[in-house]
Amino acid sequence: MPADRSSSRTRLARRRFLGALAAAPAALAGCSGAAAAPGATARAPGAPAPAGAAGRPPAPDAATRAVREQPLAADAEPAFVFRAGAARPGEP
Amino acid sequence: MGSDADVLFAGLAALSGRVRTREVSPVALVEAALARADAAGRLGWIVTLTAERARAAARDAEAEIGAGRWRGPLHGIPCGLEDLVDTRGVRTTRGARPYAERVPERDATVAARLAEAGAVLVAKLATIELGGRLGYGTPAASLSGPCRNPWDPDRWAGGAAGGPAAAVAAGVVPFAIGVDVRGSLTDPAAFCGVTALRPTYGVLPRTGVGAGAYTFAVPGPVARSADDCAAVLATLAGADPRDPSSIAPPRAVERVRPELARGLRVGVLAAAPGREPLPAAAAALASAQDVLAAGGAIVEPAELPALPFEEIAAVLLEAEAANALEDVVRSGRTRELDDPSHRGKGPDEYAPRATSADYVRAARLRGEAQRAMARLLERHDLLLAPNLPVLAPRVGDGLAPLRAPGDPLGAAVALAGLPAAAIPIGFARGLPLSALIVGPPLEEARLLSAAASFQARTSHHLQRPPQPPVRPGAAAVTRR
Repeated sequence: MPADRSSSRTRLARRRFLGALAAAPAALAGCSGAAAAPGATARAPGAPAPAGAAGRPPAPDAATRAVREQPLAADAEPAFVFRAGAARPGEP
Repeated sequence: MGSDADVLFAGLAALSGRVRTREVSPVALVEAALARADAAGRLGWIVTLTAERARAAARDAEAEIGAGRWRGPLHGIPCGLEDLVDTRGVRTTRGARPYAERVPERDATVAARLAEAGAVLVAKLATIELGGRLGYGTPAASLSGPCRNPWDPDRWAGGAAGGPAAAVAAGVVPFAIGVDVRGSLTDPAAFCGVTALRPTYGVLPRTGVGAGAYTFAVPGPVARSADDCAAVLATLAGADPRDPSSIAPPRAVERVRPELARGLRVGVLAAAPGREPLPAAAAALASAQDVLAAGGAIVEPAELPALPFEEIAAVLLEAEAANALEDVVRSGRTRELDDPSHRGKGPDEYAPRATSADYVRAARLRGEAQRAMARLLERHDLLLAPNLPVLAPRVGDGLAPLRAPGDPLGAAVALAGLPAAAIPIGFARGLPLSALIVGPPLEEARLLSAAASFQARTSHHLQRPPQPPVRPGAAAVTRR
């Protein structure tokens, strides 16, 4: 049945994905969350080592500290810029 | 309108009308602009003169107009582009030594639209190196040297878009395009005493604009008046398939009129602590409020929301620059930059100090900032504030005193992608003073109408700085 075939394909794709993830080089660890040290970032082989001693992130500057300390609503979503297609005032 | 200088200072509407009726020759106009650029000499306004290309374009414009094919208000008019804006076949240096010989293969969308409108590119104009995105501490941080203020060459024209502001102030070109990130167009406009518009983010496409600030940068016009800025914006605005953040043109921008300022509620923002304007600037701002009220605006006090606008913007801008300028940082060629702060600095030292989690938190705070500004702009139709609290610094001075007071309004405008206009409001010690008018997204017509109302009742925007001598033999502009 189509549904079974679909599930089978999904399971296969998942197995392949997990297999690929297990074989991924350490450089990708920063992308996978749990495996990464806090503040670690993925870097291409040969790229400069991250700033800061022993893999620790550099000390935050004043702007970063202010951003960390500013209260934020739990449901606040990231925003970027004025969005194209947003209704203009007075228009539907 | 007798001399060449008179013509070049006439304003776009008057000039365009005379070009259309063939009273003024585009070819002679371009020769006059080139002569003035030549006279500007070593003032640091110009990176590359495009003389031969300009002459050819002017001849084409003259022939087309002569044949009755007038394209619009920019046809045959000389203009300049900040050197962050790509121009096909013309080097675009981003004001920085590592890009000194960079020649783009495509025009930026705004450059292409200017050419389609028949505007004649005369010069690529000075910018701070890399638009200032990797930091700088001195006016000398530019491939073309310190950009000197036309009102006093010992002082700075401002940055990043010092070249466009200075060239328009000095009558080299009637208008230019600069790039605003966080005051980088409106600040030099203030120091040079010209009118500039930072449009709503996306109204003028960023395609081919190397500002290193993806979610902040907006190209915008600098000209002698709000009317001229409106004419340029109306010609260039519109979505661009190559820039997914670009949007449709703002409504009614071609119908900017002083009388539309009647009844607008203009909220005057109190100066932030430590950012109190000079007494002369405070007096000029008070006078500006009276002038707007005389034009029918309702002037009322306003207060900027208490949010760390500058810090949020700093975290986001640092991350965007680190990514956008990764190539030059990794190559180590930042050591070639002119600002002394880059010497001896390795690639690691440019890494953002915020983590990726900090970046996302800053993006969430950006939403708070946008909502706070939207609420403020529901209470007031426009906001008015002094634009820079100090006079232009001397070119040999460091910029720390200029930056010390901070600029929360500028950061709020940049975070929310709001339109803002810089308008001259007076002079102190022979140097221009300026105000910033801020509006809601896509309300450029409202914003520019208020500016036009002010300029219809004042003459600050018509003042001319001392003129460098033009070499003998420059072509006469007028036909008769």
